[in-house]
Order: sequence, then C-alpha cells, then structure tokens
Amino acid sequence: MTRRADTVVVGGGIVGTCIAGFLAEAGEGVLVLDHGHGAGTTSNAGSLHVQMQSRFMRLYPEAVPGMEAQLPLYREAVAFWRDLVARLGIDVGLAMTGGLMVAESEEQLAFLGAKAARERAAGLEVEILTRADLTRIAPYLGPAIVGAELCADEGKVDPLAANAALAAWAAGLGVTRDRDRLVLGIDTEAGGYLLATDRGPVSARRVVLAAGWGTGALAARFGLAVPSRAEPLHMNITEAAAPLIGHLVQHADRMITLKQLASGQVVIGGGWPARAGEGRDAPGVELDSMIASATLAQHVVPALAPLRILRCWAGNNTAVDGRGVLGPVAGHPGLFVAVPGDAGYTLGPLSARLVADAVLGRGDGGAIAPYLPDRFSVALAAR
Amino acid sequence: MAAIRFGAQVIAAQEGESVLAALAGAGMWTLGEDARRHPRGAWCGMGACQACLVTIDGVPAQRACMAKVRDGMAIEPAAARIETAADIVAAAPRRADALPLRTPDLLVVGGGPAGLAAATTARAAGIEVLLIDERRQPGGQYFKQRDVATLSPADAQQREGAARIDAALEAGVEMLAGATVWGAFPGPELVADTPDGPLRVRPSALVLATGAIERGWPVPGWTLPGVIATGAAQTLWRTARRAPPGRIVIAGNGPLNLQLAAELLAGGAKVAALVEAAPAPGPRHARALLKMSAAAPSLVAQGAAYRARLAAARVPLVSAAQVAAVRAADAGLIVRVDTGREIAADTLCLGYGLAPADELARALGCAGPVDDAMRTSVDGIWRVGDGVAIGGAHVAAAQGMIAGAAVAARFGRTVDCGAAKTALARHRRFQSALWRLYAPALPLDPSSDADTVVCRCEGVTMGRLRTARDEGCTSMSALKLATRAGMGACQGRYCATLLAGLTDASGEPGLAPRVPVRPVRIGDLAR
Ligand SMILES: Cc1cc2nc3c(=O)[nH]c(=O)nc-3n(C[C@H](O)[C@H](O)[C@H](O)COP(=O)(O)OP(=O)(O)OC[C@H]3O[C@@H](n4cnc5c(N)ncnc54)[C@H](O)[C@@H]3O)c2cc1C
Ligand SMILES: Cc1cc2nc3c(=O)[nH]c(=O)nc-3n(C[C@H](O)[C@H](O)[C@H](O)COP(=O)(O)OP(=O)(O)OC[C@H]3O[C@@H](n4cnc5c(N)ncnc54)[C@H](O)[C@@H]3O)c2cc1C
Ligand code: FES
Repeated sequence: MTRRADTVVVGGGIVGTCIAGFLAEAGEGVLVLDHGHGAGTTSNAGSLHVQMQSRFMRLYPEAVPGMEAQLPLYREAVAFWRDLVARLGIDVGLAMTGGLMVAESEEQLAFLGAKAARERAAGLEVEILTRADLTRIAPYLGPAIVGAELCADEGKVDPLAANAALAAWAAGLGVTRDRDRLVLGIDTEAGGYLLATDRGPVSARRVVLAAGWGTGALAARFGLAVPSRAEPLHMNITEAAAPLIGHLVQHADRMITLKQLASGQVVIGGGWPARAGEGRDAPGVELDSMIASATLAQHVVPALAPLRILRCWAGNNTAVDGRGVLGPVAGHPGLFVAVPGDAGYTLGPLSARLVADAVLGRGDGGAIAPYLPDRFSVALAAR
Repeated sequence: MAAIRFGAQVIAAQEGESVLAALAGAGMWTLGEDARRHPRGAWCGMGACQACLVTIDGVPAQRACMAKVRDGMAIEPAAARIETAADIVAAAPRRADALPLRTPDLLVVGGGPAGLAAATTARAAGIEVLLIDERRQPGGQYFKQRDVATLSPADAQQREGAARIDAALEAGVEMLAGATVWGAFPGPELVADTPDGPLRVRPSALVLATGAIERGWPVPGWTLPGVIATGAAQTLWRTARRAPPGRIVIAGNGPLNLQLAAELLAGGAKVAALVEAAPAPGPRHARALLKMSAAAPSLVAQGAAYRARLAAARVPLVSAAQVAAVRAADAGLIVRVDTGREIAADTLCLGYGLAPADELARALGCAGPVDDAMRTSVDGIWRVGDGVAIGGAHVAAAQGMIAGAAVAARFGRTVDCGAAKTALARHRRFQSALWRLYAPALPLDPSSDADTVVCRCEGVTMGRLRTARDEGCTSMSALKLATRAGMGACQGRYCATLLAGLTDASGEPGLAPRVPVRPVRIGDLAR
C-alpha cells in the first residue's frame, strides 16, 4: 500500500530534522524518512565553527575564495543556533567560548595573521594572541604553542543532547519519522512525487532531499549532478574531567580539533580518516587516526595525559564543493535540496530555515541565491 | 604486610593483593561518586565494569580491582569528574607505526582454561605462541591463582590451574600477564596496554578466549555500595582470602553462588542467607542428577558437599526466590526478596548468570564459530570458551585444545584431539543437566522501577529508557543515542544485555562494538 504524506523529507540529520520542525511549525504535515546509518549528525563533534578551517584551506586551496564569501553565513549560523536554543528553551550545552587556532612557529603565526586579516575584512571578530595572552586566557595550552588566532564567534554544543532535543521538538509538533527506511529512488507522479523505499512506496506533494552524502544519487534523476561524497572521519571522546579547556581548539597546520563538552568529556578529532564502510555499513575507526589524534591532542594540551579515551567512533561527513546546496530544483515544482556546506552541523539549523522558507514560499529568496542547486544542473553544464 | 592509605584512613594490606581486596577486607565499599553524584562502589571485581575507579598515587581513574597493592600507596576516592594536574609534560605526537609490533604465529587473548589449552596445544606442535591476559596472573576465572602466596595453601582448583600454567610455560608459550587488549582492527591487528607500554600484535592466527562477565541485576538499590557481583566476592576470596566483614547475603541463580557460600563459610565468614531462584532440589531432579553423575561424578559430589556445609552452619537457604530490591539501612543493607521476606546484610552478592565477553570478536566482525573446530567467519580467527557461550571451564578447555589443534593444522602440523572431543561431549551433557537442576522457578526478571539505574556508568534509569523507547527509539543504537546508555566507561558491557530487553527482538547483535574495548589512557598512547 502506498503511504501518503504532504511533505516528505529524505534524511533525518540536523538539516532534515530542523526543516521538518520548521515546516510543522507552519502547520504543514511532514514525514521524515531516514536510513539511520552513517549520518554526519549522529557522529558529529559539536564544534560551532566560524573561522576558516586550516584543514579545508590546505585540502582545497582553490576553494578558499568560496570559503571567504561564505564567512558571514557561519557567523549568522551560530547566532541562529543560539536563537533557536533560546526560543525552544532546550538545554543542549551550547556555550559561546570562542575558538582558538593555535600556532607552533612564527611561520604558522604569519599564516594566521594573513587569514585573520581576510576574515576581519569579511566582518568576523578575530584577533591574534601572543604566548603571554594565551598563558592568561588558555593556560592549558602546552609550551610548544607560540600564539593563536581567537575567533570570538565560535563555540560548542553537546551534539547528543541537541539531536535528542531537536528530534523531540519535531515529534512534539507532529512530525512523523521512519528511522529505518531507505529511499531507493524518486519519480514524478501526478500532483507530486512517488518515492520507492525498501519498505514500500511513499507518495508526497513535496519532497526535500536532506540526505547528506545520499543526496547526489537521488537528485540525478532530476538533472542535477550534485557531487555529494561520504567522507568517513574518526573521532575520540574521553571520560569526564573537571573544567579544563574553555575554548574550541584547532591548529594552524595540524589536523586537530578538541573541546570539552558540558559533560566534562573532551572530544578529539580534526578530520582524521576512518575506514570506509562496505556497502551500506557504517565506517570503522582507524588505529592510526586514534593514536595520531590523541597524541597530538596531548601535545597541544599536556594535561590530557591522565584522561582515558572511552570511545572512538566514525561517521560520514558530506563533502560537496564547500558551499551549501540549498533551495528549489528548477523545473520540478515541489522538489528541494538541502545539503549544508563544510561544518554542516554549524550551518544545519540556518540552512534548514532557508530551505523551509523556500518550501513555504516565504521571503524574497535573496539569502539562498548563492547556494541554489542550479550550479549542478546537467543541462546548464551542457550549454 | 603493607599499609595503604584510603583518604585519611590507614589500612593494613597484603603486598600483591588487589586494592579492592584490601578495601573490601576493611569493609570499605564506598569508593567515590557516580555520574549522578550518588555513592559508588565496586561491582564486577574483574576489571570490566569500571565502577571501582579510584585515584592511586595521583593517577586518576584506576580500577581498584586490577591495581596491585604496594606498601605506602595513597588512594583517594574518585570524584565524578577527574582533576588533571597542571605540571604534565607534553609528549611528541606519534603515529601508530611508532608503536612496537609483534608478529607471532599465534596470538591467544585470554589465559583461562580455554586460552591455556589452545596455547599449550599449538605450542606443543611447534608453533610460536604469544598469550596475553589482563589479570595479574594467568588462569582466568576458574583457575584464578592466589595473588598473595603467603596465604593459606592453594586449593585443588588452584593447584590444577598452576599445573596448566606451568605446562604452558614449559611448552614455551610466551605469556604476557597484566596486559589488556583494548583494540582489534581488521588484519587482524590487536593493540594492548602492557606494563611496558602499548604493543601492536599482528598474528598469523588468532584465538579469542576472553571468557565471560557477570550479568547485571537491575533492581532498585543494586548500585548501592556493598552490592557486588558474586564473582567479585569469589575473586576477593580466591586471590587474597579476603571476605568482607559482617553479614553476607548471596543471591542469584546457579552453582557459583552455592560454591561461594560454601567457600566463605569454610573461611570463617558470616553468610546470612543464600537466595536461589531455582526450587530446592527434589525428586523431580533425579534424572538430571543421574545424568550429571554419569558425566562428572566428582563435580556432583562437590555440589553435595557444599550443600552439606551450608546445612551444618544453619545458613538459611531461600529457594525459588529472586532479589526484588535493596535499600540502605542505618547499618548495612536490607535485601527484599520477591516472596516479601527481608534480610539484613552488610554485603550482598548477586549472581544471576554470565554473558560472553565477545567485544573483540565483534570488533573484528567475527561471526560464529562456524564449525566444530571453533573457526569463525573470518579466516585465521578462532573463538573458544565462555567468550562464545557459557559452558563452564571443562567445555572451555576442551574447545581450546580443539582450536589449538586446528591452528596447528593450519601450519601443517597434525595434533590428535580426539580425547578433547569426547570430553567436550561429556561436559556438555553435564552442563545441560546442571542447568535443568538450576532452572528458575519463575523466569528471571529483575523488578526494575522507573528510578532503577540500568546503565551504571552514565546513570541512566529504566524510566528514561522506557520513555525513549515509547518515543520511537526501538533499536539499541537509537536508545543509546537518545539516552547515553551504553556510552560509559564499561562500553555498554553491563547494560547492553539489559537494553536488549527493551528493544524489538529484531535480532540486533547488541550495541555496535567500539574500540577501545577497554578505556585507554592518552598518556599511555604517547608513552
Ligand atoms: C565525525 C564527524 C564530526 C563532525 N564534526 C562536526 C563539527 O564539530 N561541527 C560541524 O559543524 N560539523 C561537523 N561535522 C559535519 C556535520 O556533522 C555534517 O555536515 C552535518 O551533520 C550534516 O547534516 P545533514 O543533516 O545534512 O546530513 P546527515 O546528518 O549526514 O544526515 C543525512 C541522513 O540521510 C540519510 N540518508 C542518506 N541517503 C538516504 C536515502 N537514500 N534514504 C534515506 N535516508 C538516507 C542518512 O542515513 C543520514 O541519516 C562532522 C562530521 C563527522 C562525520
Ligand atoms: C567472576 C567469575 C568467576 C567464575 N568462577 C567460576 C568457578 O568458580 N567455577 C566455574 O566452574 N566457573 C566459574 N566461572 C565461569 C567461567 O567463565 C568458566 O568456568 C571458565 O573460567 C571459562 O574459561 P574461559 O577460558 O573461557 O574464560 P576465563 O577463565 O574467564 O578466562 C578469560 C581470560 O581472558 C582474559 N581477557 C578477557 N578479555 C581480555 C582482553 N581484552 N585483554 C586481555 N585479557 C582478556 C581475562 O582476564 C581472563 O583471564 C566464573 C566466571 C566469572 C566471570
Ligand atoms: S553500564 Fe557501563 S555503559 Fe552502561
């Protein structure tokens, strides 16, 4: 039997969940279909990133101008997180502590200086700190650190608490959610779309593709070549410690991101690779990534030595071209794409708001214009 | 003798025993605070549950049950959150290939009856064998050795164990005790935390003989200090001849409880009651007893002797009853049994069954054993003993021998293991009859209320879990993400079996296995 819904959101990560909630707030009936495996959202580390991440600048130097153009969006996205959490009255360990990107040499410090100048021009609140400044505000940093860039707009959130609270919020608004349903393909039908799933067909007037790395495969049928790739990443978390690390900490030249959650646990990551899962299996953790990230963390914050790593996990980040893919699919009324840019958890709720507004026909669409899916239109590319 | 400090108190201890043994001997069960800031005490006593963490000589989060007493040790109760010192030296970052690597023909994880047998059999056939065990001494649970050699003499079980350990050493098995395997990656590549620092092992063949852990019994009050696993009390007694002072109530299902009661009584401890879920043996058990006698007459005689000892000491035996709740009293604990009866105790031992410790096998994606030689679905990896399914020490040893022979065959050596196959069949018959004898009067069912803690590590209650389930979290992973149950230091080892009861019986194999299977200290990785 075909199940019917007014709006189907494919993908129940941070983006899909928030879109569903925003649509339900506007009185729409929403069904979320989620495969339940390998989401970036359930594996993410809860950093609210604003400054340009040195990892992405190194990996994709050609994308730096694009990153710069997006910087104001990140600041707005963090402000949006704060407003959302305040409006819903949920406790998700959100803390605006500021983020440090540390340097171990004059050369790295010079890189940060140049980066800070570009970011300041884009309206971010950043400053370069000396070792003496750091000894004052971040005494937990090890002796190898000679300076840092501080971005006051950065912070952190407890991702587990946030995911649970947002899912409960959406459910409370009447959003239904299938947690274990894989969408195999989507076709048009009279008055909407027919989705083939591993548990029978679903028919909907509108469809929002918020399926992270799974989006490209579903969008291809509609003339979009969204190059969404799963990027398996490794993470570590320690047992709870007394307050030690205030800031979100990153490195100018090395792959490390660490922060202490409200629970007291320290989350250590930074883009170290995980083992890609076979078929639809979730990715697996890597010994080398664990050793490398944990020892690097102890190098940056020596007091981590006595803490034990309780768990490692791996999840799929979604990489596209650094920029979000947000908004209606031209020529297919009622079909929308919602994939955030890099640091997609930070961008998630705001990206969802922009797409939900497009679905509801609200606003003038100006904010979403740079992110429209059109840039991946096969027809456009052929022309 | 040695003296250790616990907080402000000085305690007489025995060099070599576990810190937990010394503290328990002094009746000190409260070791710190749990996640909910309630008093926290030891539970499993075998290194798995992480409930006995203390700070030793300034190093936080050490397992009291695994740490060895040294004269002058300063022990502090552990706070819910670890205080880190400011003067720690930063180490240089390193990669995995900087860790020492061993490549033996065969790696055996676990030195219990199963692992010892596998190692000795393979080694006798000329294969290079490295055996790693987490305990201070090999022997596993059944052959647990004394940590304090100056104590009363070893019993028959311990002497038999010592002989098997000696045989393994004589055959040339290399043994690494006090080393915990915390990681297992495809290859297979295993990583251990050893007394000399981290070690990687890439063996040609791998035998996993990791034994069992005790199941939790989530009734109201089961997390109170002084409520411990039966196996924990047994370990304190067998390794250090320590029995907690005051009244001891032992409750559960199965022969380990009876054996513990008898051993403690013989040692002069005060056993206030034995509560057993099975009905008292009667005429309808005659067939089972007959089968057991045919398979292993000495074990049946031993059981009868244990019962006689309890009767002679007039220990009340409460049959066909299960512990329903525990509460703290002015002095000690009050144990409420489902028949309504209340029993006063200073220590309560709960032994409601064992569960295989299969985390390494699952981390490696091994299904099975898939054949009689105990091979798994992954080529070159075997699983034996109680780590596969609970069958007891004799089944474990026979399986170990059979797997050892199969490993030898992989290297082109022939070993006859016909005797082991016969023994295996005989002990399986014994086990199935034994468990007919111990069939509980009513299905085992801890009466958890909404406030009962299910996940000790994260302090997650039954009420939270039921709410999450009713909100649609019907799989174990969804429950885990929504409530944090299973995310604690024990890696869900104690709550996974309990969570399973709350979810769809969709055949989910439990919580996804996560490396590290035991918490690993960042400073030890940098060492
Ligand atoms: C380990 C890790 C750490 C991270 N840390 C951070 C961080 O600290 N800060 C930050 O800002 N970002 C972080 N990210 C990135 C961030 O988590 C993601 O960008 C973000 O969560 C993406 O959200 P999403 O809703 O777009 O997609 P996802 O959360 O990936 O959700 C997509 C969902 O769609 C489902 N799906 C896919 N295909 C189908 C289909 N055909 N049918 C049905 N369902 C389907 C998937 O199963 C998945 O559940 C991290 C990512 C990883 C992997
Ligand atoms: C606490 C306890 C007490 C028991 N007492 C008895 C008893 O008195 N009589 C009886 O018949 N049965 C007893 N049993 C049942 C017992 O499981 C079997 O009888 C028998 O010991 C099983 O043998 P095995 O070799 O399979 O496992 P075990 O004897 O349990 O040996 C497994 C060994 O593997 C080691 N190990 C596990 N994981 C790792 C790792 N990651 N790294 C390094 N080493 C590891 C453990 O330290 C252990 O020494 C007891 C079980 C428990 C849990
Ligand atoms: S009891 Fe340890 S994680 Fe649940």
